Amino acid sequence: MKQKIQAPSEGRPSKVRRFFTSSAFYKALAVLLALFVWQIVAMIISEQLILVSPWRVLLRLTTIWREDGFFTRILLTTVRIVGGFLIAFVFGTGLAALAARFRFVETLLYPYIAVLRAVPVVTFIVLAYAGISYVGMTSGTISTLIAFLIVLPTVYTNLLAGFKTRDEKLEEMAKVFGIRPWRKLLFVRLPALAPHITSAVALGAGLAFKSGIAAELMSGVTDSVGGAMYYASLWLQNVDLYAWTVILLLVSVGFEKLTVGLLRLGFRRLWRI
Amino acid sequence: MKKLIALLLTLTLLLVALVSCGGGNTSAPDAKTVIRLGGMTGPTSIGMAKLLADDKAGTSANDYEFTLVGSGADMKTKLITGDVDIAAIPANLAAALYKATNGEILVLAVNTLGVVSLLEKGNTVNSIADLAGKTVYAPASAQGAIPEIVFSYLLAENGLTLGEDVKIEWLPTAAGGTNPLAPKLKSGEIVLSPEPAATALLANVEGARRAVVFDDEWKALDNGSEYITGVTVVRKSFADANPDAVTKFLNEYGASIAYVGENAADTAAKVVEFKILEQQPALIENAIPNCNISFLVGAEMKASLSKYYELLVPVQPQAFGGSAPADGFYYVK
Repeated sequence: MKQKIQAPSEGRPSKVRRFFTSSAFYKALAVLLALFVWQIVAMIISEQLILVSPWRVLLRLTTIWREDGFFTRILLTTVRIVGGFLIAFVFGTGLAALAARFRFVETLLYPYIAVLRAVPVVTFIVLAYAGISYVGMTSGTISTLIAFLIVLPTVYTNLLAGFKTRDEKLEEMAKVFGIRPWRKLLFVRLPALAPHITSAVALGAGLAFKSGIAAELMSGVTDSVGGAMYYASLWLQNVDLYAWTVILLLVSVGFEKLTVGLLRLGFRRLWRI
Repeated sequence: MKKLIALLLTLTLLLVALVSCGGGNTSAPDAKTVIRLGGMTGPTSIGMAKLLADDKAGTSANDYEFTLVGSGADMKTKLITGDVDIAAIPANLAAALYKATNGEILVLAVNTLGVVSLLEKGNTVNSIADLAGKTVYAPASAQGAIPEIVFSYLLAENGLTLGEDVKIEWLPTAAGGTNPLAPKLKSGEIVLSPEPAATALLANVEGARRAVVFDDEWKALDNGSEYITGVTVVRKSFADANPDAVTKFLNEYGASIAYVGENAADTAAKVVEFKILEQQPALIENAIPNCNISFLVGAEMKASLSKYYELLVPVQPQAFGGSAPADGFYYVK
């Protein structure tokens, strides 16, 4: 009897046991511990204006969505930032393709990309902010512009590396078997490029939201998450500032996981044919 | 070793005795209380100029250590951490701080009334009601602050809604840079500007005029209050520990504010000396009458300020910490 029960548990651990030994479980535990540390530190400081406790942030999250324009803010901010992200993706891919094909394009683009990569985000924000009133742009477009400028070099650099890594043997084979160019593109070139696209999306999505929100906050764009954060800090509402940060984190990570997931799914479908 | 400890202890005791004697005896002639005074660049600190000059000359009743900051955000941090004792700040921030600190920030006085005007080159706007369907350009620093809240209130009193009937476009004003409102004003747009920038714009843009003065519009409503911009606050723990110093401060602060009206030219020079404003002294002198530097204390202050909160808190509750402050907020002796 005893052996019958023991045998499976030794050979293949039960689901419950596997969960408790998985890295996901330990990560969740670490998150809980971090929240606990945060709560304790907040209780020691006991000054809401310096550090808000996670418990109060959680409470605020249950009421903040009922405020006027909550969903409009999130929607408009997401549309603006994702817009900048997408434009950067199209441009970055195009430029990277050109640079991979023609060496002089890569050389010509070098100074622009180097500047975009090295200059701090705030510099762009301040310059764009000062510039928009003269160009006649509305302040809402600033987050699109900033997200575009920040994502562009990331996409460009990643995809350029992708275009340059070619599977010479596979291409030789494609040539020998006389595979049509578009099939070659889909089944020989794209697989080499795919990991670079995925990592560019994963990196770019986070960067787009970080820089876009900073732009909105610094230029006080109304009807935006950054605008809400500007007012929260102006009016001493620290709890709101934390709550908006949590919401932003969810939107940003959600967007990243969604796009990366869709891309992977797309690639898998494509290559299964 | 023991002898040394005994000696040290005796010395300590002696020192404690001496110090407690000195502290208790406030009538000592040179025992001035040190007040760490905070001000923000802009009109709300103009009233302190004479006081700061007297302090420098050693003729003031208290000893002042002056800290000048660029924004309300900087000042709020200094008040919370106790780095300043008394400070001039925007009236909404005072109420929000009272809430956020659970009553640690009290209001001593009103120091500045209305400082905002609408400017225009043409002649299309002569009252708030004329703004229907128009776009107004304003400095981004006014966003979410008293100028926007008061503008919204004045519009509502005239049956207009900000953002719907009247649009507002915020323009960034970089410190030290050219005012982006100037080209707008030149091209015939309506511009909202606080002082002293408004006076500077009028001096630089030919044909521009003061179309609507918010302070006048507010007075015309006869609503039992004033259009208050700046107030002076104190940390409660400081006021409780130094009531005499606070009284002395209010006396010489009142005199300093009265001096602004008596001698604008000299005040302007002092304002420049203490870097409260960056403009030319002559321009500041011209701007001073438009800054409505005033002094309200005690019951008069409480009556006007509480009515002001009653009127403006519904316009933008979060800007005032959610609701009008309780009676404990007003420092009334």
